Amino acid sequence: MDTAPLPPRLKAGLAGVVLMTAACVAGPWLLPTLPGTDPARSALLPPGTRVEVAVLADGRALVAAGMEQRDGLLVAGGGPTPRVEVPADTVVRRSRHTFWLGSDRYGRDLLVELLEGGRISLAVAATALGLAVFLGVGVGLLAGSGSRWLDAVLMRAVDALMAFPILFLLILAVAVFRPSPPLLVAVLGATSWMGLARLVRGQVLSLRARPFVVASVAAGSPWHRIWRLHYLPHLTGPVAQDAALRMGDLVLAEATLSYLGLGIPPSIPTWGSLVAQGHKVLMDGWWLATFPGLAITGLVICLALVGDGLHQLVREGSVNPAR
Amino acid sequence: MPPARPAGLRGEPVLRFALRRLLTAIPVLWLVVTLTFVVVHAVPGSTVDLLDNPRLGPHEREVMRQHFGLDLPLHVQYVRWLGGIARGDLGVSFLYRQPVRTVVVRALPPTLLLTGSALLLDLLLGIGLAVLAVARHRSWFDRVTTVLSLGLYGMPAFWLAGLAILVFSLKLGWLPASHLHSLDAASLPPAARLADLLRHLVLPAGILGLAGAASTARYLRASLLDVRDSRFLLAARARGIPPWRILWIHALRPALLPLVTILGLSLPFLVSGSLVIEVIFAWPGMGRVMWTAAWARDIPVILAVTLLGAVAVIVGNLLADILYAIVDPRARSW
Repeated sequence: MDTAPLPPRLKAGLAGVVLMTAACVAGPWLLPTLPGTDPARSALLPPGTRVEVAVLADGRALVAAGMEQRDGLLVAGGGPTPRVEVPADTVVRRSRHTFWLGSDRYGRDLLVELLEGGRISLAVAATALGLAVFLGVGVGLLAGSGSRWLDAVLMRAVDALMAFPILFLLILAVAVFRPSPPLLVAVLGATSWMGLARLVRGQVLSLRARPFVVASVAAGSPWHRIWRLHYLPHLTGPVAQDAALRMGDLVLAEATLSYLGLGIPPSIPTWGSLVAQGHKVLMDGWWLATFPGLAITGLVICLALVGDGLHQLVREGSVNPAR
Repeated sequence: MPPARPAGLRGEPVLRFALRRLLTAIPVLWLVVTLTFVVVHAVPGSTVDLLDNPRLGPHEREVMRQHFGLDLPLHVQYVRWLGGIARGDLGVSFLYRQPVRTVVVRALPPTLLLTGSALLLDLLLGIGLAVLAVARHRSWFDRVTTVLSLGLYGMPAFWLAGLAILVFSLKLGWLPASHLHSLDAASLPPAARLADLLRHLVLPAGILGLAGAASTARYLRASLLDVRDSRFLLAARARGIPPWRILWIHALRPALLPLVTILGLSLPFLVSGSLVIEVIFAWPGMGRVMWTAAWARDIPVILAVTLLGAVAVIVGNLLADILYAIVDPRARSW
């Protein structure tokens, strides 16, 4: 099969998504870790701050803009960091660290938190997307290929779910079950498949009347053969395009819910909860809300580019060539 | 993916179509409110338990329970509530101790003001930018607006809201960051009060409107580029119709088709508001009512807002189909 050249925006979007995913998955392992935090001296340092770190014998860490050894004492301080002196022989190890994206209220490195939060955000959105695609394609196929009666029941259920206030469900669910990633995945997945079900049903209804399907039915093919050979292959394009855009919606939804305190417990960083943390210190640390927001924006844009590119492929007929 | 043309409208008078659709919507409405009823009651903890007033002993709590009718068996509560709805009575809010109707009627105008102005900005800016971008296809203007609208599309509203508050309220001090009025608004002359209200409206409506305009512009630009090469536009050009007219009238009309559906579907947004924006900007609208009601287990308000939202979704869908038939003669029969 000869392949048409991929649209540039599809390539760019895919590259962005892969890059961000790789950074989040591998980043926290590859980055030099901060041996410990020192909230008294390293909280709310602006992006690009270079500091020196000293690990003490009792496990504490000293973080300061500058350090020098004087008369058997280690003097830490300089710049905006308050001065402190400790006996030099209690220092186990000294190193340097750069807060490329600044530090948070507790002296943690925002870059590390951003990447770790990205893992959670991406994992939640991707799992919820998987659930939504499974439900949407399944229900759409059933409604489109089943009896008129089944179709009517399923589609009315879809209508009702679309009119159901999702946020209520979530606020109530959170009040009962405590916010947790599995709950969030379940709620997000269970509430975002309806559009896809409608899309798939429409496609199946039109496929169903096409000669090759009619012929296959007349030849006595069992339903699973028709699904596997005729319906599913023709659905890949539209479903993939819809899934790319939906993934972006899910990333935004997860972030919004975590921002409101309904998604992931605040102890686990995600992009949404990082923005919420940053908004608490808006005046003292603009970077804390800014970078997680930019990460969300970047990912959603890349996913939109992938969706646009896939749309172009589908329209030009290079994904589902049977016309 | 263009939305499917409404299948029901062909060969059927519009009134009959609307009536049939509204009648078939009744089971859906019933399903939605019944589901909500079940979920709300299945959640442990009622309004009465959530009141942490030390002066409330077990006895007082029981009296309150009786007062709210929460001591009755569930099916009795359910039938009572449905009966109330049938008579147009939404019940009394546990939290505000006022009829739910009053609570909703008080919250609706601020929400309509916010979402209405956001939608207006969305359409004016979105349509304007898309048409201008297509008129100068591949120019710097087109590129800049495309990149900008893609960027705005990806930005989470809550994040943009925080950024706007930081810049325009905290740093520059130009615009207020929350609420509908200033504290001294009641003592101002009418013109100054209106100005005060508008100043409070700028940030929340601006953010909602810009985010919407980004999607609209993105959608419409693609849709305009799709119709640009069609034969009827070639014919229009051949007849010597000026380019601006071709673009703004001949091309825009078919390109607006999917937008009409989106417009109809924005009715629920108009009525329910944007919860996140209302929570961030302390805007006293439906979103905030929903938010507080859910946390306080204010069951009558929860059910009423759900019902209203569901009605908006269904009427919005219907309006979308009818509007579609009005702009697209191929989909109508009258």
